[in-house]
Amino acid sequence: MHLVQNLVDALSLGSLYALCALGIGLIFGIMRMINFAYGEYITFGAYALVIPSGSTVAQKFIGDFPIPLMVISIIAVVVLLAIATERIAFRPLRKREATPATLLVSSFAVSYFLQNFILFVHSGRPKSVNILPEFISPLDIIGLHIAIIDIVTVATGFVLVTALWLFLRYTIVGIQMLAAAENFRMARLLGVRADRVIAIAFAITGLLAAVISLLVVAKDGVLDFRMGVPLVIVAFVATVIGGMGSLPGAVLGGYLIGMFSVALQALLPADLRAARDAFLFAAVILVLLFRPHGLIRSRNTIERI
Amino acid sequence: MHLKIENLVIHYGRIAAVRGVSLHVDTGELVCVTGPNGAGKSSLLLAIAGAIPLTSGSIRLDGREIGGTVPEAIARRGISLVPEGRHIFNRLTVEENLYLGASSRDSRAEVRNDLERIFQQLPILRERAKSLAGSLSGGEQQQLAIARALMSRSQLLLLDEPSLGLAPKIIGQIYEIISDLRRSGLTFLIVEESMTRALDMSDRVYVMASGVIRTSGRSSDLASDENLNDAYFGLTAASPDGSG
Ligand SMILES: Nc1ncnc2c1ncn2[C@@H]1O[C@H](COP(=O)(O)OP(=O)(O)OP(=O)(O)O)[C@@H](O)[C@H]1O
Ligand SMILES: [Mg+2]
Repeated sequence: MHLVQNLVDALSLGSLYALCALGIGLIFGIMRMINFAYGEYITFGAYALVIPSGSTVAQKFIGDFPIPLMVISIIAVVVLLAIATERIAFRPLRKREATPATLLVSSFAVSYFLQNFILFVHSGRPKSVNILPEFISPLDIIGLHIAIIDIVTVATGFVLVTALWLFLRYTIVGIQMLAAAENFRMARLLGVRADRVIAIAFAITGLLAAVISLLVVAKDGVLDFRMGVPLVIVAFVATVIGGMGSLPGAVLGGYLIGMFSVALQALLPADLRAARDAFLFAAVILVLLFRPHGLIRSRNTIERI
Repeated sequence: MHLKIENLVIHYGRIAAVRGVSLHVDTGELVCVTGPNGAGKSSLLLAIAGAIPLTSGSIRLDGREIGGTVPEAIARRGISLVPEGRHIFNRLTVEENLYLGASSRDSRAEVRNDLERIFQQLPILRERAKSLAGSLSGGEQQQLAIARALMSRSQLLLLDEPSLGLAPKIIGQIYEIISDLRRSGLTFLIVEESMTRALDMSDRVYVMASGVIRTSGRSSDLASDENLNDAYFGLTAASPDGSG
């Protein structure tokens, strides 16, 4: 009984982390840049649910829309934000042949800018907000208490990972993206438009971030201006564990970290549980000692013209 | 397709790789650039294709300046580069590589027709259509790289050492493919390190060393110039084609 509930928890957290890792992995694959602002895309999507104000009592805004409209609106907001950050903060640097290190610094700048923007508009105090109350109530299946949100998270993870895979494998733009990830300069020499491919990649990460923010807020019911930070760190670690530059690796890394984290929570003696993340990251270091290039090694981090 | 380059200068950081090169290629010609390692031949082709920036000089295609344009725009103007080392996409299939070659084109129907035509000309690619390109042999990869460039319908092909790393028999095959394409009206600018092969296949040759053109002329005239190799390879003396 307990086992099944833990398994659902593990899959749910794993799915969430896998979605986070996809967003980081997709941009890294194409641009060799770790976009730390991805965390703030998630935060921004969450805060878009409520009316901007300094008060701790959140008044719902987009969060009050009917579910389909709410989902579409949050996706639209975050996709626009992602595309805007690419235009303003990354594209001009890219045109000047900036190194990945410069791009990384720029992504930190965007990240802090957005955090402080939210801090300024909404104040730094956490707000509670209830967007999908019906999703938190547990579903009783043969004596098991399983929250609907966990099932929704697992299903969403599965659908989005599959959809992204189909997109990359079976559409022209998707194949251009894979080619750009393998060898960007060669792709451009063949006529693949760099700006277009990168803008679409950012739009996809915006979509992923929007969905993540909805899932997180629906489950936890709390808004915090730093809520995206731990998620982007887990995403980064997951892509490193999976093998930088490999999308299947990123997904695998996300699921592993989520599931391992839930397993630790369930198996550690009560007085050690507070140190769960210490164990988690110790395990990460261990994995990297044995496989410094991650579980799925990608050759294209080196290969360029 | 008339390509005219004047006083082209290319730097990597502070090092000048190309120092004032002028050359031209007329419609239907096959022109070779030859010269020793580090002469700047690859840099020249990369700059024409827009893959690296030029310091100064001009590159004109049919009278219009293309120097300093992004590579995807130059591909749309009808120039295709097959770079040194081929750079096929190893993790994509042969067919996907070929479709990528048509990235600058809109009509899907036409692209499918061209794919069919290429499969007829190069049957090995049809056989391996669904295999990962990384699993092909070197000669097959070179065929794929050329075929991929053809998928763009470019009229001017820039080939950087198409024979590099291939067995002599395979090199023969590749050059046969090139001369077939030539008969169909395409224009070529080919970097070929072997002086003999360059003189053999081309209408005209430019000999390049240390970033400048040392001599140039019709291949038939240069072929009888006995001092050619001595003058430009004599110092290194290691060229396998030293006999000319
Ligand atoms: N990416 C680069 N960064 C710095 N220097 C470079 C780079 N590429 C080439 N060079 C230098 O520029 C000069 C010309 O190189 P290039 O590759 O154009 O010569 P090449 O004639 O094609 O030689 P090869 O026969 O070896 O292919 C060389 O001195 C080389 O070391
Ligand atoms: Mg070269």
